[in-house]
Amino acid sequence: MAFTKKIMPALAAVACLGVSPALAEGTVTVLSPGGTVFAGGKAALWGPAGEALGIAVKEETTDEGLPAVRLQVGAGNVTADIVFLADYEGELGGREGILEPLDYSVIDRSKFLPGTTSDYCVGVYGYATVMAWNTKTYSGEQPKTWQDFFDVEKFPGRRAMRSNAETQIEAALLGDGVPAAELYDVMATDEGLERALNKIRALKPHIAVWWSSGAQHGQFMKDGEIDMTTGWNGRFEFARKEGGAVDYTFNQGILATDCLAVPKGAPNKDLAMKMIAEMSNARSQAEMSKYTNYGPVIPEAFSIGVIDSEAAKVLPTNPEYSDGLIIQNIGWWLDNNDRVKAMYEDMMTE
Amino acid sequence: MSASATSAGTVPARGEGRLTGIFGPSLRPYLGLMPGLAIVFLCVALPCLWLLYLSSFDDAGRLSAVNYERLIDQVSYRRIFVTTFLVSAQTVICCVLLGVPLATFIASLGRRSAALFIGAILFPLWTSLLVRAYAWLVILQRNGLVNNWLMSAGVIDEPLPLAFNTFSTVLGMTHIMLPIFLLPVIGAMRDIDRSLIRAAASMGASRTYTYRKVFLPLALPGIVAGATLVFVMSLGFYVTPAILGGGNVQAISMRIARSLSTYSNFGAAAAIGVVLLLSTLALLAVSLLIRRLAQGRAGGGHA
Repeated sequence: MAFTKKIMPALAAVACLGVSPALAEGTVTVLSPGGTVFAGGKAALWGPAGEALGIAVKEETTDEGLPAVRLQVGAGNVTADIVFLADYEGELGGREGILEPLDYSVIDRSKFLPGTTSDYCVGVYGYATVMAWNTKTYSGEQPKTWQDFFDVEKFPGRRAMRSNAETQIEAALLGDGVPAAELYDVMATDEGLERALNKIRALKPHIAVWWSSGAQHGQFMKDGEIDMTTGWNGRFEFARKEGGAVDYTFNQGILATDCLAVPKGAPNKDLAMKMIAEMSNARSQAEMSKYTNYGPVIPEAFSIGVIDSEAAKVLPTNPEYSDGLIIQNIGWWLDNNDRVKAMYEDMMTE
Repeated sequence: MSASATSAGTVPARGEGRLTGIFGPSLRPYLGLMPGLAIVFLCVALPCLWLLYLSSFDDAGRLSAVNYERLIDQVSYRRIFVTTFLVSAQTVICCVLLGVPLATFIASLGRRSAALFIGAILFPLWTSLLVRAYAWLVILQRNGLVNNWLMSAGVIDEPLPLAFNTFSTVLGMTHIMLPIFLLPVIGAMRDIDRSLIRAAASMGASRTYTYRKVFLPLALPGIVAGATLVFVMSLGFYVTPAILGGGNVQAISMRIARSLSTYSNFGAAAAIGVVLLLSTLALLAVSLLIRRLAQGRAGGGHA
């Protein structure tokens, strides 16, 4: 099983090999997820960047970025130069020593939203964990904050939360009145964690479902199975577009990113750094957002006239939402993941 | 009861015949078994040993019992084991309650109509587990068929909590397991010598008495076999509890999947697998013992 899990993405990647004609500078291989990210990446990110620099781009796709890098580095046969990772994977890969430190003398870090770049991975788009509610159930006053999410007297109804502690601990503490600025200080203490778990314990009689995938919570909201849930902004936007009685708020949304990294021992490491620097600009990220419901992590992307105000409404990194947006502390999760998830599962099965 | 003595007497006799074959002076039958045994070793025993091997190292690759200690220290593991065994037991009970009368009925039919019914039972087996789980969701969820009917008929004012709990999980699992339970039971019931039933009737036993005292005991080995099969398969169920349990029913298989996908901790997952395997073997041993005892009692009755 171990091997299938690691080899399948690699095989899938090989199957999807696509090569653009090489001209001058050399070639870099980009390993990205498929679907909308691939379409947007080709049109807005590596496509234009490769043309501008005269670098040919070889494309491979996988939905398991980090396992693919582990496999390549472990086998001593690294073919990918640039890889798309979740920020959590970027941090983990850096600690495992399978990623090159990024060269921030080439890549301009200053234009990014704070907290969306790290030593090993530079943000490319962001998505948020937000709360969504059924607009028929709550036709009068709409919930606005995580405190409303946990307030079953003011907003009675069926709730759903994630069957995985990640982002739910943050939501619970915000729901218990912890200010965003102190969130990770409170989470650093055992009392803080217990406080978060107790908040969810108190809500448990109203939690009808513990969701485990984005498809699931999107469907629950569209079907009216659940009155209020935590989940990912793109799924709720989709449910709303499909005609579901759904609304959501970016207020106190918890932002995570996908990011670009360079595997340790990448064959064209220096070109990869140049490519990442070239792709990391406001226009590219703005164009990219047209393909996905993910938001640019370079704030300037919203002010160059590429994203109109209507389209900007559904993007979590819209500067208009920035006061309420919380950037997830990925390092904290990496340090505490196992312990917190075990505590969460104990609470869930009580 | 002299007639049943003959039948009970023939069972061990047949068994003895096999035994002499295996333990006889010639080893030749063994040679024929070798390719089969090799496949069993490669496909069953070796992976199990590999699992055991994987589970005995910690994250840093040192030999350690940490994966097993975690199973004891973290309460959720114990709860998940209890939940899985309870849900499996409930599925077995539902299968027995529904399956035994149905099997009795089918076994009493002529060949042609029995074949028709068995075909009807087997038919759902060809449908994907996933589709069947989602179909139940469509029926059971808050705006599902059942709740909508009951609400519009004025039977209830509030939707009933039918989905995402133990009830829906057991229902979905019973739906999938019933055919698997029925097949060995129908087989066992068809093999029952009809003259025994007639003999009981001729000696004045009522129909219920004959069913209870003659028919059911003779069908018992088949029922135990079917129940054991259902139980063991239920322990490893993933899709049905994951969809119909909605996170409120945590099965062992779901925890194993999570250990692999979110923690990529093969040691932890392997340890759960080993414990599950051992507890399943223990249960099988108990079931075998019960069967032996049942057969022994049936045989001892006429001595």
